[in-house]
Amino acid sequence: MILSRLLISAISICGFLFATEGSGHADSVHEGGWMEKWLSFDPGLFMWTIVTFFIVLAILKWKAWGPLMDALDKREEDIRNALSSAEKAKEEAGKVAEDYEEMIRKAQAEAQKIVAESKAVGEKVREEIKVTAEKEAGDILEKAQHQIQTEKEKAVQEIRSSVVEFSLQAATKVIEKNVDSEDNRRLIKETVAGIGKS
Amino acid sequence: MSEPHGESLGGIILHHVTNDLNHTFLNLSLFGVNISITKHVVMIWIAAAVTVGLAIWGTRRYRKDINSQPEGISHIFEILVNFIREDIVNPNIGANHGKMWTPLITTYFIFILICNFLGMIPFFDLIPGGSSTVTGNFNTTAGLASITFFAIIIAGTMKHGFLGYWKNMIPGGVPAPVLLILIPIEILGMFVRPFALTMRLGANMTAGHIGMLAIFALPIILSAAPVGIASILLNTGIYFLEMIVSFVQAYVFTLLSAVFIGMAIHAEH
Repeated sequence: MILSRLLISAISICGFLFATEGSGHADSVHEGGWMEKWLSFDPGLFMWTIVTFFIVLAILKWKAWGPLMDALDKREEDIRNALSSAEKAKEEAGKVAEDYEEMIRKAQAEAQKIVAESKAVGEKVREEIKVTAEKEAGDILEKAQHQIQTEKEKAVQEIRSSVVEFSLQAATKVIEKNVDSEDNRRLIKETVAGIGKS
Repeated sequence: MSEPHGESLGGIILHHVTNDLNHTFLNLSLFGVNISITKHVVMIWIAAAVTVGLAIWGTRRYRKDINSQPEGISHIFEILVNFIREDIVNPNIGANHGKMWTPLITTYFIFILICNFLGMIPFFDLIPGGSSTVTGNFNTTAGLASITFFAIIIAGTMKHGFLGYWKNMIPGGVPAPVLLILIPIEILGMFVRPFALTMRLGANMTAGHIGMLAIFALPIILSAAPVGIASILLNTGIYFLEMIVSFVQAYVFTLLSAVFIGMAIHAEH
């Protein structure tokens, strides 16, 4: 109230000064009245303005601005959340895609490795089989050669002894008398052995 | 009308820009103070009813459902509240005080705007008792400005404490002799701010009306009817200008109130 009185009196003073400035003629009283009326202090209106404004403010804060601001805040929050969750989802999707790519890359590498290993194993097995086969073939050949040699030697031996026997028999029959002595017999044997060697 | 020309015209103009204190709808008195219901009190109530009605109607969907989307008039209220919060309250008062001061600042804007616009509807001149522009009355604007005056003190006290707020009035690091001049200036400044708000709104809202009335009075003064056509055309233009002034003055009062409240909160200058 004091403030309003101060304000209005200040305005009134201004008005009064303004009014008296132009008071050179007969209308001055009327002019002063005009200003005075315009600037007159009305405590009733002053009070009603404040009271009405506070009632309006209270009602609007309670019923209009409160719910409206809450709705705006809620929407802002929702949009922010939606944006951040979208960003998160995008990030996650990117991560998943990356994981899949990694998995595929790993699987491919694994497959290549398996193929390479199989190839290596196959090669090894082939090599082993080849070596074994060659070795076995060599063994068989050697054995056969050895056997042939043995059989050959045996046959020669047998032939030799048979020749000695036959020669002896034939010689005995031819020269029955001369061959009784040990010297003759030895001589014949040496001769026969010489025949086998030549 | 029996008076000479000049006086009767002065009387008409006076009648259209002031509140007739002699014409009361209800004589009331409180502690010896005359609080009679004059035309401007009625106009304030009409403005309050329109403000509350529009705002309640415009925001009804948000009371029903907090997630509802704007439609129709609620678009306007959303834009208005959002604009006041984002462009007036947050930059001047601060986002962390926004929740507290936005309702006051928004109510200032819409209430003053509706008072201004109601004063421009000729229909309300049919109500006897003087002008219908309440914001052209310095008592109304002084009432609104004194709310700003106390809002400034409350905002400063809430932020810095009772003593802290008054201490902020005295700038630090100033020699004592300068303080002798500065303190009265600061105290004067405290009163000048609401005074400036009072004068700016009241004078602006009255000035346009006086101008329009003076132009309408031209054919009478010149006793030439054809001038009336020119004055009607001119006043149509001024009417649009007045609409802009109504918006601008409501905005200026709102913005300056926010700036002053912000200055009390951010007193570290």
